[in-house]
Amino acid sequence: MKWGYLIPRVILVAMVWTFFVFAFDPILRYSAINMGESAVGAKVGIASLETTFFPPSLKLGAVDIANPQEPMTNLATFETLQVKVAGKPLLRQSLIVEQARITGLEWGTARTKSGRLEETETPGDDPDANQEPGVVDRFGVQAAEVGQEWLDDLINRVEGEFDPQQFESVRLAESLEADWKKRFDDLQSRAKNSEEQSKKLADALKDAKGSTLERLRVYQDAVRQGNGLLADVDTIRGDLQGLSGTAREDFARIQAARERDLASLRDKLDYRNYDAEKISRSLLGPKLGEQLQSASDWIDLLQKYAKALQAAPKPERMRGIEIVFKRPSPQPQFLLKSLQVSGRAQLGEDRMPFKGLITGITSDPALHGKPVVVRAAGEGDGRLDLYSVLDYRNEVPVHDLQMAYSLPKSDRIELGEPKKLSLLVDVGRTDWKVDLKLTGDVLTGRLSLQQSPVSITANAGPELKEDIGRVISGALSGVRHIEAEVILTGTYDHPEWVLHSNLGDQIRDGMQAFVARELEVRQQELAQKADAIIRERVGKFETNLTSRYRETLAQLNLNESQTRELIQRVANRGLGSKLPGNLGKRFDLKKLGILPR
Amino acid sequence: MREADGTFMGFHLLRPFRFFAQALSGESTSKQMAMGFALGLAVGLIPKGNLIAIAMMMVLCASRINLGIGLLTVFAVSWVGVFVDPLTHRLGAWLLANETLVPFWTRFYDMPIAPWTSFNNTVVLGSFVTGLLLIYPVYRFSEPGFVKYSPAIAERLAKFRFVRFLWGAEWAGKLGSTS
Repeated sequence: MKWGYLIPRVILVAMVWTFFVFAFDPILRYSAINMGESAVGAKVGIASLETTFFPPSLKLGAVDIANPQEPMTNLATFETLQVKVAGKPLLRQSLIVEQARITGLEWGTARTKSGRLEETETPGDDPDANQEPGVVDRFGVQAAEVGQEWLDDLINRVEGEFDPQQFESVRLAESLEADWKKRFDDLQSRAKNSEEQSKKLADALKDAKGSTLERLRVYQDAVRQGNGLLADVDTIRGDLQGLSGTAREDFARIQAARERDLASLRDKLDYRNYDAEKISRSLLGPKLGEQLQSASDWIDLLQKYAKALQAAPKPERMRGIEIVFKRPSPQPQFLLKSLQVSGRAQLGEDRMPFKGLITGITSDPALHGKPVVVRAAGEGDGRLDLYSVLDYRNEVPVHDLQMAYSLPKSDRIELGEPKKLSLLVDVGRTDWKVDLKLTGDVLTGRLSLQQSPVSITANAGPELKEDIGRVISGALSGVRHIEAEVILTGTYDHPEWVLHSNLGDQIRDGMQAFVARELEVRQQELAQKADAIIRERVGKFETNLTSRYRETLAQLNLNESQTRELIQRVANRGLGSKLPGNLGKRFDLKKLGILPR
Repeated sequence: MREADGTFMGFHLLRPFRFFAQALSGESTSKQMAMGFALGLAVGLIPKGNLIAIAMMMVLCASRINLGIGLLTVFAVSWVGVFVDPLTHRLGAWLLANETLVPFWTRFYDMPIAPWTSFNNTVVLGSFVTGLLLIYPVYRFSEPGFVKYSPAIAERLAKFRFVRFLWGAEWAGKLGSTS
C-alpha cells in the first residue's frame, strides 16, 4: 500500500479524532455559554463541560446564570448538571433524556462580578422596563394605595384638623350675612332718601316768596309732600319690622344646619363605619401581592420555557423541503423524562434545603401524552411543599400550582408614611397556601395565610402629634392572630380578587372600642371647637343684624320726627295772619284737611 | 542534527506533509483524477450537515482517487450547487412523493440512523441522486481532459509556494541523505 494513499487519510482521521477529543467539548461549552447568554440577556458561566458518546451523556460543572435585571445577583446557580441521553432514540433524531440531575441549585445569590453583558442596554433604556406592572404586581400597588388612603383617613379623623368651611352652618351664616347686609343697605338708602326729601321740603318752605296765593300753593305742596314722606317712612318701618320674621326663619335654618354639622362630626368620629376589608387589604395586600407575584413569576417562567421548547426554531435547514413520514411508534424530538433537582430555596431569610422532581418536559406534549409535573419539598427552619402540573396536551393549556410553606419568622412589614404615621407589623409564624389554576387565560385560585402571633405598633412621624401613635397602637394592640384568604377570579391579565380576613374586623373593633374610649374627651373637644366656630360666626351675624336694625330704625324715627316737625311748622305758621279779616281762621289747613288734625 | 541514516531530523517531520502534497498534487493517473473530479462533484452537490454528505465524503477520502482534485471539486461545486437547487428540489420532491416509493421511504425513515441522512429533504435526495447519476458520465467525459491537461495542471500546482516548499523539502532531503 502506497504511503501516498495512506498518509492523507490517516491525517484526516487523526484530525477528526483530535477534534472530538480536544476541541468538541470546549466548542460545545463555548456554544452553550453563547446560547445561554443570548437567551437570558446576561452573563452565563459554565466552569466545565464533558461529553461522552458511548453512552451519550453530558456533564456540566458549576453553572451561574446572572439576572439581567439585577446584574450583581444570580438568576440561578447550580453545582452540577448530569444528563444521560437514550442512545437508540438518538439514532432516530429524538433526544430522549432518560435522567437528568441538577445539584446545588440556588437562585437569587449574590455575584462578585457584574453579570451585565457589555452590549446589553441598561434597564433605563429598556422600553419594557417602564411598562405597567405585572398582573399581580398591580394587586400589591392597589393594596398599598388603599392602605395609604385608610391611614390618611385615620390621621385626618384623629388629628381633627377641621376646616370651618366644611360646616354647613358656617357657610349658611356667611351667605345670609351677605344677604342681610344688602337688605339693610337698601333700607338705609331709602331712609336717607326720605331725610333728604324732608330737608328739601324745609328749604322750600323757608324760601317761599310771592303773593299770598302763591305761598299758599307752596305750603299746600309742602304738606302734600310731607304726608308722602311720612307714608314712605311708615312703609320703610313696616318693611323693617317685616324682616324680623325672615330673620327668625334664617336663624332657624342656621340652627338646623348647626345641628346637622354636629351630628356629622359625631359620625366622623365613629369608627364603626370603617370598611374592614379595606383595612385588611391595606395591611395584608402588599404581602399577599408579593406571594401572588412570586407564584405568577413561576408560572410565567414555566410558561415561557414550555412555549420556547414547543416553538423551538428548527435548526437552520440547508435547502429544500423536509417531508416527514409517519412512524409506527413516533417519539417527540425532545423529552426529558426525569429531572431531579436539589439545592437551597430562599424562603424569607432562610435558605432551605429542598429536593424536587420534574417529569415530562417535552417538545410534543400531545405525542408524549403526559403533562409536566413538578414536585418539590424542603424542610429547614420552615417547610415547603410544591406540586405543579403544566398541561400542554390540549389546545388550551392548563397550569395548576399548589404550594404550601411555612416560615418561622417573617420580615417586618412597614405601612404608611414615616413622616406622618407608620404601622410596623411584626409576625411570628406564617403559613401560606397557594392554589392557582390557569386554564388558557382564565384564572381561578385561592391564597390563604395564617399568621400568629402578630404585633402591630404605630409610630407617629414628626408631622403628627405624639399621642396619635399611642392612640392607634393601643387600638391595634388586640390583634394577635391573622387569617386571610384571597379568592382570585377573572383573567390572567385582569385578575379580580376578594379578600376575607379577620384582621380588618379586629382592627375596626379595636379602633371602635379603644378609640371610642380614648377619644371621648377628644370628641368633645372637637365638637366644642366646631360649636365655638359656628357660634362665633353666627353670633357675628346676629350682632350685625341687630345693630343694623337699630341703626336703620333710629334713622327712620329721626326722619319721621323731622317731617312731623316740618308739617307742624307749616300748621303753626298758618295762613290766617297773612289773610285779611277772619279769612285766616276760615282757611285753617287742618280744617281744610291739608294737615293732619 | 542528523539521524542515523544521515538525513536531517526536520525532513522526517516534514515527510507526512510531503506525502500529503504528493497525494494532492501529483503522481496520480488521469483515471484517478477523473474519478476524484466525479466523486467531488457528487459530494459537492449535496447540502452539508447530514449523514449522506458525511458518508460520501468518507467514500471520497477512502477511495484511491486524486484527493486533491476531489476536495477542490467539492469546494467549488458546493458554491455552485446552490444554483442547481431548483432542479434537484423538483427531482427530490418527485421521488419522495412517488406513491410506489412512499412505503420504502416510510420504512427507511423509521430505521435507525436514517433520519440523520436527511434523505427526506427534497434537495438532499435530489442532489444525491443527481450526483450518483452524474458520477459515471463525468468520469468518462473528464478523463480525456485530464490526460491532456494533467501536465499543465501539475505545472500550475507547482507554482503554489506551499507545493514548491514541499518539493524543495523532498529535494533537500535527498540532498541530505546523499551527503
